[in-house]
Amino acid sequence: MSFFSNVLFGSVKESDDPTGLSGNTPMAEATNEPIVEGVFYPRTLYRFNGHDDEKIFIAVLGKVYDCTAGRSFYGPSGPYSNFAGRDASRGLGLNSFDMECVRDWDQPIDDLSDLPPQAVDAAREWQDYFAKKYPCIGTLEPEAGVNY
Amino acid sequence: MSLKSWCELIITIFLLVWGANFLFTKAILENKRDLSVMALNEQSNKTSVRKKNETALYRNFLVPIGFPLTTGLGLSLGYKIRNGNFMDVWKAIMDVTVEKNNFISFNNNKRYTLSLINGAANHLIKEVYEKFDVNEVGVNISVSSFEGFVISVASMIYSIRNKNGKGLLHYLTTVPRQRLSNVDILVIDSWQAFRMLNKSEDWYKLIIVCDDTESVLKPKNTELLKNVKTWNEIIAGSTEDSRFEYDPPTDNSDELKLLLNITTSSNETTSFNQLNLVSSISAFIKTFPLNNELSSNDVITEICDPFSLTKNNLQIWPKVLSVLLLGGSAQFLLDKDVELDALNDTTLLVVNPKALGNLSKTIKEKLASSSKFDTIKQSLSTTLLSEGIMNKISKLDVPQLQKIRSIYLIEELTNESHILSFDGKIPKRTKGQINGKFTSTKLNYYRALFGCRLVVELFCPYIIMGPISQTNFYDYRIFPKVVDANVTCVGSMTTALEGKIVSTEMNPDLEIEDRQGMLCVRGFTIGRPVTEKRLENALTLSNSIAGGEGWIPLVGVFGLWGQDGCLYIYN
Repeated sequence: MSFFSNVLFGSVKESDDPTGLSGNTPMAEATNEPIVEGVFYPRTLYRFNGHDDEKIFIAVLGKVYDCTAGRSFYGPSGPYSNFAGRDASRGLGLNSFDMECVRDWDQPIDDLSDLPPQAVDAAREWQDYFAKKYPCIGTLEPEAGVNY
Repeated sequence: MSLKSWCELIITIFLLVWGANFLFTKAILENKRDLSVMALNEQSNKTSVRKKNETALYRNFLVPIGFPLTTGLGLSLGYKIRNGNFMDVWKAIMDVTVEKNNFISFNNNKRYTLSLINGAANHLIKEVYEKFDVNEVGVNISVSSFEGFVISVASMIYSIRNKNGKGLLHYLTTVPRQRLSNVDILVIDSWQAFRMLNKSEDWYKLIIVCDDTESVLKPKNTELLKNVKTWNEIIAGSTEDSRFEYDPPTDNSDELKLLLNITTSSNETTSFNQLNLVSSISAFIKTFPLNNELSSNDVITEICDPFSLTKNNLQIWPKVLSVLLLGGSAQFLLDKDVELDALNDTTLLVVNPKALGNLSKTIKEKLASSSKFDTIKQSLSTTLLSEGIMNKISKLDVPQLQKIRSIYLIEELTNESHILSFDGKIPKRTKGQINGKFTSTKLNYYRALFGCRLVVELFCPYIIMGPISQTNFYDYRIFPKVVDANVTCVGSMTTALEGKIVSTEMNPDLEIEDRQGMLCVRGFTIGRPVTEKRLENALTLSNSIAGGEGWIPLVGVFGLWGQDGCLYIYN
């Protein structure tokens, strides 16, 4: 009835309030808020694997990068999908995509102490590559009671 | 009839009306909308992460995150792409004018062909720029006048052709009260303005007086006039010339040259380069959606405020050059004497809120009709607009306005002194950040009245060339009253800029989690402070407030990002 009543009574259709000033913000939008840059734990990082959340974050040598733009590589079904939402340092250093090279979120953070120097250097080179290509959005740190 | 029959009748009527309304809104209105509701709710691309005291970074929906912003015209130079400069633009304009025979009508209501303007500019280069050793030409007249336009074109051409960038255009909003060391030639409006020089005549190698009709005010002392020439003396002998040659250098060095300087009344100078101009032109051309592109049929009319003519000199160029580039024409009118006949061929109208109000008032007075039928037409038109459907149901029956397809409403930020000073002082939010704004209901009233689109553009007069943001061509939404009462929607960022909002200590009531705070911009249409001190202050301010990386805080401009990706400035 709204359109005809609007014409008859000289009123118009109001859009939703996009500003939130009226206090009526659509619920769907609340989940689409950007993530605040800062400290990530393996547990909080894991969600951003391109599957549970469309954003894809990858940690390399303690720095977290937003690799959402590289979804075709790191997203679900991509060749590097194992790295999404995880610490990829070991995998990149050893040039391996095996699941053994990435740790689950409830395990201690990989300190790479058992890797040969060449592999650590390779991981550093990958970090430089990520830093040039993707925005750094924070650091990866161990969570008390979970990772140590 | 029994009670049961009455009930059945009422229910049947109710179902019929409800069904008709349902079908009408879902089947007809949905298909007639210019833009879907979903598209209107997603007008920007934004980053998925943000810093602690900042919002995400917002861009126009045409420029995805990770892709470059609009930078220049994308011209080919062999296998390389280059941004272009004023010479490329002017050459293209002169190439196309031979076929299209387009024109510019200035605020004296006379039409000039582009060949005549080009001929006059070339004549001026020979008579002035090549005879005097000119570092900068101080122009204190409006670009909306023939003289202002020609001298600007001449300066822009000469400063690129000259290896050392001499002959640079320098817009002055007032007659200089302090000596500007590089300004060798001063262009002023009249003998009245000449009197305001007040013994500073010797600062210049040449003073050009454009309007010498008020000869009563001309000084009798010939000593004062030794370095003075009138416009007519200089321009005598110029002829039409449609030829314009330019071969860009292979090292792109012309693209790095300055375009112009502009000095405000508070003596703050900002410089703009060729990239600023071509990016701004490119961004404007991109705002036109498919099937509504700029074409040679377009005539752009700028209604200028007679009290701030020189203030608008910077902002006139991108739109006018864009239209001329595609073979269209341009005209400038003064707000005080707009006659409807002057708008006869206009397809794009550029106005400030005051001029739009005056124009609609003039039209309404001439068509004093308020029949019931007109009221119903107006109501139907605005209701359809609020549903997202453009219509001409209540368009005024004025023959002169039949060709208008879009109005550009210029909203200017008022606190430019805060922005330009870069003094690091963040003010508390105050009312009146924008000059003369309209509610969304009023904007749809104008759309219905003129039967055309209306785009709101936000300008920061002396620091950004072209708009900061503009509303979508197809956005006719009516916002809830609380929104209109508190903020003004100025659309999404232009494709040459990106923006973010930062929190400030002075305004704790603005919550960054709600995307509220002070606006910062970054991109290719922003000017550069000229003096070392201002440049240093700007860098310091950028680092301390906006995190550096090329961000410029628009100090004192407070707003919020809507869930729809649009920028809303507090009233």
